[in-house]
Amino acid sequence: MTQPLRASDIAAVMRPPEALRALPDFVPGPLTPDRLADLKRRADAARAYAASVNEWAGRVEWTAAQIAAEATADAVLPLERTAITLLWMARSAEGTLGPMLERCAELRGRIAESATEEEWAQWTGFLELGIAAFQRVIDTAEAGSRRAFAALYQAAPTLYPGGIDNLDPERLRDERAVYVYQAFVAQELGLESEPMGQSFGDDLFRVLGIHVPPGTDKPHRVYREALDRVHARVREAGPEFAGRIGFEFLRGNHAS
Amino acid sequence: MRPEDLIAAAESLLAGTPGEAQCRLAAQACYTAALHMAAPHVGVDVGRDPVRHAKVRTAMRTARFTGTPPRHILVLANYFEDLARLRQHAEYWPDIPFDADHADQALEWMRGVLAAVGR
Repeated sequence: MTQPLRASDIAAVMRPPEALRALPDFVPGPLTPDRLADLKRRADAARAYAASVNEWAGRVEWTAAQIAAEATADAVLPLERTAITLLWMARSAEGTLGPMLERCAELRGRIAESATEEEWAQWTGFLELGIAAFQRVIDTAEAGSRRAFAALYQAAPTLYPGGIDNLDPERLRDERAVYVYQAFVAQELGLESEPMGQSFGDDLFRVLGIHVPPGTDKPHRVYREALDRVHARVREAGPEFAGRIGFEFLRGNHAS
Repeated sequence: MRPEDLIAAAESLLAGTPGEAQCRLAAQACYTAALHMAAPHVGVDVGRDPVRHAKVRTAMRTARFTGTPPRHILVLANYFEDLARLRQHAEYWPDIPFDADHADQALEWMRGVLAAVGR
């Protein structure tokens, strides 16, 4: 049975081996023993990378299918944490692995212009493996992310007022963080709160407005230790949401 | 000069009945102290990097540290976003009132950071 995504798998896939990140210059002609050994080392590294991509892809597909199967209106927010990871991987793969794929394809093109049949076979083995692996990561992450968010959107369309075509993982985490904090503020402070935003020019800050009892003097001092506990619980439950918001203390309808 | 000196200066500015200018300066001092405390742990050269504020803020909110940070930097990461917000308000938006409670909030977050130093 396929297992869920693991941080170590993600890290391995998003950081390909040096053999694929720093490419050699193509030099036509007979290969020196050193060059031959280097190309073999690169092919071995590319093969190992392709194997880790293969396992990771199975986990991504399984994860996206799980999200699609479990997506109901009440389950969207917990499932979305994992979906955001898929989205982050899709954007990261596009931005990080995309340029590496292009560089591999360019080198393969340069080799094709002048290589003999034997040179072609010797030089392009690791490139073909690398290009296929990069493309698989990019396609799998994108497809997994799309499948997951399509299911979440279908279950709770109001959570995605701008649709799901141009989602940004960091912005989504910002938007959700305030709700994560709201839940823990209710538990640790026993107070109601409401999501707010504060814009200074183009700079938008997410803020949790905490309703404090009337007459509370310097509520930031009164509640600081409790807020420390809130932060600790957010870091434990969803570290990606921690430290993304500010706090206003509300007395009646007025911020203090 | 150390970041702690800036926090002490903020305490002085807010002693008694501070005016709005003192409140704004105190919040700015707290943020500057936070920036200098955080920057070495997120790989930003505050003196040379032209986008120092954005880089430190992004790194702190996403917990991207260059190594294992000490306890007080983890506490600072919890409040850095709010310190950045209060500084933004205090420094660039003179038409939006900035009161003593907001300044004291910035100071209180930094008191918590200082209390965690060496723990």
